[in-house]
Amino acid sequence: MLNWFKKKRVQLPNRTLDEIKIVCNILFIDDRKFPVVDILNDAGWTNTRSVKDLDSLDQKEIREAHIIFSDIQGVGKKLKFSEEGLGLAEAIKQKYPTKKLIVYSAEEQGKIETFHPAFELADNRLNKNSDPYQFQILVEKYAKESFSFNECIERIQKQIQRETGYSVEFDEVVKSLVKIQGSKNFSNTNVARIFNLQNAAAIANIVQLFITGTTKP
Amino acid sequence: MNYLIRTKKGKVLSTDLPNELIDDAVNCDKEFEAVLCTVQGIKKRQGIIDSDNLILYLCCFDPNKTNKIFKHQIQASKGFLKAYQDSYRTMSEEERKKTRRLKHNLSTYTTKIHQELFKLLPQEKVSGGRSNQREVVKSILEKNPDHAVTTLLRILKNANLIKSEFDVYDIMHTPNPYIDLQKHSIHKVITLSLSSFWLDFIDKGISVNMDKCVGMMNFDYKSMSSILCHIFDNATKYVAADSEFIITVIDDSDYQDIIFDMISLRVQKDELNKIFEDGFSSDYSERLGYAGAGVGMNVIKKLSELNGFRLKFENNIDPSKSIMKMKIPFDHNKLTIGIPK
Repeated sequence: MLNWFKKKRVQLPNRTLDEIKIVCNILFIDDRKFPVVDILNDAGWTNTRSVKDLDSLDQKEIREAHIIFSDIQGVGKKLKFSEEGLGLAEAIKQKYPTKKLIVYSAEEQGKIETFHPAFELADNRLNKNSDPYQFQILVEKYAKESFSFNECIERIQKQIQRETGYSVEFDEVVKSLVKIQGSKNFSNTNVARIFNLQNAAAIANIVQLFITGTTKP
Repeated sequence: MNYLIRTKKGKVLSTDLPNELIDDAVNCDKEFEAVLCTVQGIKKRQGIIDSDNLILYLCCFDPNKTNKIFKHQIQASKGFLKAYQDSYRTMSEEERKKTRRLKHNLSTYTTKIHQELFKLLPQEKVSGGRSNQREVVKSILEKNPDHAVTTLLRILKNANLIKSEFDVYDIMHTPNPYIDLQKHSIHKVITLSLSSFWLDFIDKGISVNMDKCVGMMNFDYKSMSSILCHIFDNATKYVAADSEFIITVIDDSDYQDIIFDMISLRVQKDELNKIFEDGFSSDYSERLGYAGAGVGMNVIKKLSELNGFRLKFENNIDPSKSIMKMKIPFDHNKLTIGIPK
């Protein structure tokens, strides 16, 4: 009987890999049909889709994507980036810094501009002829960083360490996340207050994505 | 003084001339001449010297430089042109060698793919111009399912070898190769590489034991899969038929060692130091006719060095396990690759 009067405990999401596969949105930007898209869908990453190019950096597919794979050649033409895919990749990462971006190319590495800022900004890069396994392992790694309980908390710890130089205990992060989830307020101000940070833009994005499965509009 | 170096066919290799003066420079065929420059409208001294297939052109607009001094400078540049010629020839030869090797290996693998395919699907039966091509292929596959499976697996193996050729070329011939350190399950990565060679191991009755091959390791997948590809390609050729090929992982202070333990073709004592050298094939592999271009072990060594792996080959570690098959000796040999933790 007493349980009825107990305050309902806020439960943070604890997703299995299969649940993560369903919640994670993956986008390929490639002007040619790329079989890895089908391979990922067959492997259970059912929210994997592809577009031939982007008309706008605000279009639905890119807003909803959590992990983006972008070819370096043949895309970025519609938005008239001077260096096509490299320009597009740079713009995506500047607009959406917390989304994971992997650039890939069929060119040998020596030929493409390896010192282009897009390579610095991108989270990883692959050859177009990489094994499907290489695509899958990156998808799994980045999806877990966003949606898996332990790995997301470790990601938040690293982000706080990077931004402030201070380390925060695992349990402290969990307590803060519970508070944010309880308040249902994912604003930068609220997240900054609870984590005791001056600027919480990146953390707020990570927290909202982990708890709700969606990013800010 | 300005210069231009070109081939005798007219290809400009190097110059510090502005674009508008290049045509005149390429067309100059005199050892020395003083002419009015049509572009700049002033007098210029120019001349060429040649060495084998290269031509060095020099020109000077300085009115204070006499013909004698200019001619002397042209002659003095002969040694420089010779040195340039030598390094140009060396670099061209190196590039040709790299391309020749790549072309040789790629054409070997693509030939195998074609031959395997046409063994299953006779060329004349699937050639163009048949509206029922799909039905013809389908009926052949239905009639020969086992052969079809073998063909697909052989194609997979050769496609993986082609991919590995590109990866190795990319890693070894790029000034700053992209090494992407990620955590991988070693069992999974070995299984993925092994799958292409599975059929060959089965054909030779070699049983692959991976029971003690577990753990997560931090490495560049592209490098590791190329290394494994070469190890397994060698193993299918040199491990004794009907023997066991054991892969284990052992923790050793700062490294995790992947050990390939096998009864394989004898490597003689005086060959031990050469086994990782470019172009080396062991005496017995030559005798058996299995030797390739002798690049596999060298690729393994170079990729290992690049990734900071430690590499060791030990021969005949347990002489009681040595065997003779068809008068060819096989010993208990061990290859170890240590991955830094």
